[in-house]
Amino acid sequence: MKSTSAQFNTNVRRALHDVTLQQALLRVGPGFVDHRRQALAVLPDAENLRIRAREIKERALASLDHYLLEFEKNVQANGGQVHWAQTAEQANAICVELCKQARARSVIKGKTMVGEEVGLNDALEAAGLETIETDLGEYIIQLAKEPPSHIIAPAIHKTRKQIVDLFDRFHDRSLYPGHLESVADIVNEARAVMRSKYLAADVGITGANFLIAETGTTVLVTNEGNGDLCSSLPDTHIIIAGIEKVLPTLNDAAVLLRLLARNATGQDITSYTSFFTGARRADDSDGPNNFHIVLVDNGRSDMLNSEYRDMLRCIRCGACMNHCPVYGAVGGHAYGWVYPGPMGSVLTPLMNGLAQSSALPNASTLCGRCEEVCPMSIPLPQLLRQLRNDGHKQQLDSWSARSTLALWAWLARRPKLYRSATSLSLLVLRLFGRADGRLRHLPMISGWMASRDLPTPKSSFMQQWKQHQGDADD
Amino acid sequence: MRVALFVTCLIDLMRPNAGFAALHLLQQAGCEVVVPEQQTCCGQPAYNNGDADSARAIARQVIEYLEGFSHVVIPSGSCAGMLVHHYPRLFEDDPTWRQRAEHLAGRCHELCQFLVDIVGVTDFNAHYSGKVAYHDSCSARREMHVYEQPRVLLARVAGLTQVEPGDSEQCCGFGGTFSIKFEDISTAIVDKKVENICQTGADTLVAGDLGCLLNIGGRLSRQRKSVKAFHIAELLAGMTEQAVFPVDKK
Amino acid sequence: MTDARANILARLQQGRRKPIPEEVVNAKITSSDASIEQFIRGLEKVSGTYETVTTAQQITGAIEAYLKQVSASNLLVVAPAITKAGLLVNSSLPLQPAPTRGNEENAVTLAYAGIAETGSLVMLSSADTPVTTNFLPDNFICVLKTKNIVNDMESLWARLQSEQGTMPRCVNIITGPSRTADVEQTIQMGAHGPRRVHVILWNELG
Repeated sequence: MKSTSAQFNTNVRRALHDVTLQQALLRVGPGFVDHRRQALAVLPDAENLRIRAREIKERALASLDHYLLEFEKNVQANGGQVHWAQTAEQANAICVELCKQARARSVIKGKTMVGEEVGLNDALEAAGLETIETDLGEYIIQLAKEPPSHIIAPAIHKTRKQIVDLFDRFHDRSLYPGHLESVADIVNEARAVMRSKYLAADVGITGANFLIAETGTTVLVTNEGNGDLCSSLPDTHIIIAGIEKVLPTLNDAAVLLRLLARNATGQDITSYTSFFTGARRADDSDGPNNFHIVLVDNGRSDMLNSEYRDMLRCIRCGACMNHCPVYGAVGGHAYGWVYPGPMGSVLTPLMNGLAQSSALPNASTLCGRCEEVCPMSIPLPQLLRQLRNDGHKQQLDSWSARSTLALWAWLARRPKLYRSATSLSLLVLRLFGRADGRLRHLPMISGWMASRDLPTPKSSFMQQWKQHQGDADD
Repeated sequence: MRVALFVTCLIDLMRPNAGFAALHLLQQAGCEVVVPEQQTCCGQPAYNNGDADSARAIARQVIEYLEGFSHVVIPSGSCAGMLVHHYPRLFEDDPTWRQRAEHLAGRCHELCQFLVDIVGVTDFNAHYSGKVAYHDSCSARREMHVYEQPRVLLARVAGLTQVEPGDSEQCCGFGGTFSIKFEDISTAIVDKKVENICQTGADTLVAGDLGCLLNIGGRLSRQRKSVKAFHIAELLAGMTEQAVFPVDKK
Repeated sequence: MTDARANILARLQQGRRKPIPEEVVNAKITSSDASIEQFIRGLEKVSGTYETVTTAQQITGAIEAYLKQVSASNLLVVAPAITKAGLLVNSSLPLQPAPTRGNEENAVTLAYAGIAETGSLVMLSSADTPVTTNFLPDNFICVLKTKNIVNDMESLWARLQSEQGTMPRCVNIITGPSRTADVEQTIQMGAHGPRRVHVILWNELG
């Protein structure tokens, strides 16, 4: 997917003026934040669980190559094949090739963020494959030709009316004559449309939430059950997953699963948690005969060897964006790529290059709520600061910002000059200020003044203090 | 007890009254207060804008001139967080300075934290008649774990009613230079904050961080809302003759 | 693509850290017990329904009554495991052996276990319990022997390991009906999978 992160400010303006988007964003609070809080409040020993979760992931990352090899061996032992992709292009080429081997015409897909990351749908469609997203949210944005605006709820920005319009446009009304109004109408029609696609598809592609080294198992969670239909109906099942998804044991997955849904949607567990181990067995009456796993690096091994290693603990629950004031104001599309919110502001520059996404790590108040809610204790504000450091070193910030900052930093180390600069600043404030002590315009900080006033103090603390000391000495 | 008052650059420039209020409270609590003359800023603007080298240079100076004090008190959660958590981080690869930074970190306190937890004084005989909404700054709440202390202090102010705005964990959208660089996002965030505060019917906004106070108060002022803004030190010290922003009489 | 494999592994090797010993992280955290009550609490929380029975005869009656209540069709897809367990033998319902063709309304199958912590059903893939039976019908009826309710997921893995030795192709942990909140954050049952999950809790000890 083409990124528009470089046009962040344009995206932001559009988002802030998009009335329907703003209405949709109001649902994030009650929908995600409140449910999560309630779910965690009754979880015994939640803090201990969080520490354990972090340790599990750290253990996996400490020997990532070892666990991936163990995983590969066990997948093969169960009749599956493992493919390795260093780049997005390689991942897409592998998937297309596997579809060709299966002589596929149609592909059904479960929601996969790695798939979004590598632009898999475009690659499949370019190869002439009919590709249908089956997660309802993904299906809606596929019809709308938009990227997901949230990693858990891809179509959270869409209203019911917009969805009905899309269905009216794309569904054959001679086959589905329904007049859609309620949420139930929409879901039922999607179910009916999709059912025929499932039964006819040649290949199912899904993501994975975890890969289990000790058994060669892949774990997939959904609420709709779409991933299970993708994985059990077609004759070929392809799973695409980032290399950081591997965990040593099934018990490790049990621990992380206690956190995943609670932090994502506030559920104790999703409706469906499925563990796939290899291809159809000799005496099975259903399931895919061909079972493939595509392991994707796409920048992850670089992260492992960098100061951004902590980011590899991310389990894609979305809690950081649900609690982010910036995400809450502008929604997911403003970030310009597939991963929004704080995790996206770290991942996007690391995967697409900082030069074209340098606004993202800066567009944060560093309020720290993302780190506070992150089940994997990822120090997101610190990673954002680190990216700012990188941006500063690469001189990606504007000349005016750099020089202002440099001048200020120079003054801050020279108390006497700093005091003179303070006096000068106060003079300017009073010059532009009004008689009532309110400042409404100041060209140097027009950004601030666009929506806020400033006071116009008469003298600084240090000036008054010095005077006070002088008086005391007399 | 001899303590250094780290006034912070924002209070120095924009709200000297809050600095004097803090000074007054510390003296009332029985401390001998010193205002180190070399102080300017803690270096956060550099630190948060990717200029770690400048931040380190500033931090070294701060560490040096604050070395002789048994306690350093800071009327800001954000600057306190900088000294306590981020200075040591700046010197990760420099054991000598890291040790000095950690030594300083152990002696730095946010004002309310210092009054309640260290000197144990909560009653300053203050009086304020009004309905007060206290705003937690993100760094006070999350970095410095200041939450109960300001509420305990405000509870002792005669005539004062405390109200809790909804969604109080949410950031006000200040974020230092963020509010200038991304002014429209910042405004959208502060508008939610203003709405939550106004919904409580509060007539006064109090915060422990001047950044948040200027942001929320500045927005309230622009919208001509009749909510007075004060730093918590001013309220506790009874130095409330003039609010940070002028408020039109209704 | 063998180059990709070698390249990735080489870079990951560079990123190795001192291995973290297993015992540090493997301590189990759970507070639930393997009780039927706990299982029912979990199931009801996710809008699942249940009926407790003690005999095979009662199961037939319970299923017939349930279908009358929720379904216009009385055609029932039956997993071989149900027949092999001697259930539904003298039912008057029209029965159709699994796997389903994809458009039948009702199906019944046998759970391998239940998880008390979350009120979940554990389904294993096999010729006797085809996976598609769990997902295609509107009304998913599942017989669970109460003695097979385990405490938590960790207990499930331990039991699976000791009884089967290996993982079956598919283990489905099912917690309530299929649902989606993708339209305006409103929860709607029956997105792709079953609209209803009904558990026949078979307490053989009575």
